[in-house]
Amino acid sequence: MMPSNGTDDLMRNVAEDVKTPLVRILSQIQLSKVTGTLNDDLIEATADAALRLLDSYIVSTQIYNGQQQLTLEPVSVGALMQDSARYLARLARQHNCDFSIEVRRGVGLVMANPLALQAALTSLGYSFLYALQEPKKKHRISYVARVTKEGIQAGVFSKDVMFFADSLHKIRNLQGRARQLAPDLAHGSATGIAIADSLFKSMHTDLKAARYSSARGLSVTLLPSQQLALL
Amino acid sequence: MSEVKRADVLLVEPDRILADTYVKALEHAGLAARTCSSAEEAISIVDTYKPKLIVLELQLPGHNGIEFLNELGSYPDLKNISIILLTFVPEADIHLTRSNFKIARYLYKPQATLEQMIESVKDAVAV
Repeated sequence: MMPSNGTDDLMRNVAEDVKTPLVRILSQIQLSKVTGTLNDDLIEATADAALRLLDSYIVSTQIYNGQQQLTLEPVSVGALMQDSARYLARLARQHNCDFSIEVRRGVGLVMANPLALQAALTSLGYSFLYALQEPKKKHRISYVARVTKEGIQAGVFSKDVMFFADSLHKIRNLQGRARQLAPDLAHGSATGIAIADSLFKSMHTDLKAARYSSARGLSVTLLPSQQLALL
Repeated sequence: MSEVKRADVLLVEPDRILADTYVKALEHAGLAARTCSSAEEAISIVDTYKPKLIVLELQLPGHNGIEFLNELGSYPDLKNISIILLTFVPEADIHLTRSNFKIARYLYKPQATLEQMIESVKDAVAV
């Protein structure tokens, strides 16, 4: 199934949002020329996370163009969340943020495409990190997977990101037409959500605004696999 | 080197890493700034501290920078505060419906250097 949002529309927003990490890197280098110290960890974390966002975008375009076979198979969502949190750990430190993972009892394997699910989870985590604004506060973002009546709910949540159902609606409507996809969120933070939305659509599931333990976030419902997880 | 009081420059920048970088660069040049990340916070700070200069990103979460400028321009005691636009929005895409505020300088963030930003701040606060 093709994603309903054209990836060409998304490209303009990817280009806009990648300017933020590039300006961060440029300004760090310029600052180091006057202070004599370079925050190389910040530069590496920023570049690495931006490259992963671009990779996620490429996965979404490959799926859209039929270059990537999209087969659903039994996948450990918890393991993919661990990987995504590890990819984003350095950027999270720069944002004074703990990235945690909560896989609730009963969550086993889900039916998904591992490449697309990994890219979508990483993109969501990236977006939530960029949406954090209060510099002095310690932040927390959580990947959560839990069993619901409908299936396995998997998503990203935070009490520090003001994300509303309306924000997702705007992201879908403004793709390719506005520089700032989600006016509620900081510049640079919405495109990852749009990429994740496209990737989840390709796996026949819809990203939705959700709440978990008084935190706001975005989640999808995935079908549990009948295959037993070997732990 | 310009002598600027702590509350004389307000940096309205939603990206916390960039805000931190700009503040460090300003401090290294002997300038100090308050920071905030939204138009709502900015109005509250401006109301309390009456800064001499605001360095403003237009793409803000919630109310955007243009809405902030329109609000600022509607108060007679605040409309003379100088503004430097340091923004991701290209100049050609900025349509200001009112002009009763002082735009001292426009800097396109992807192409503006820290040095240009600092020189612009020094020039604006020296006037």
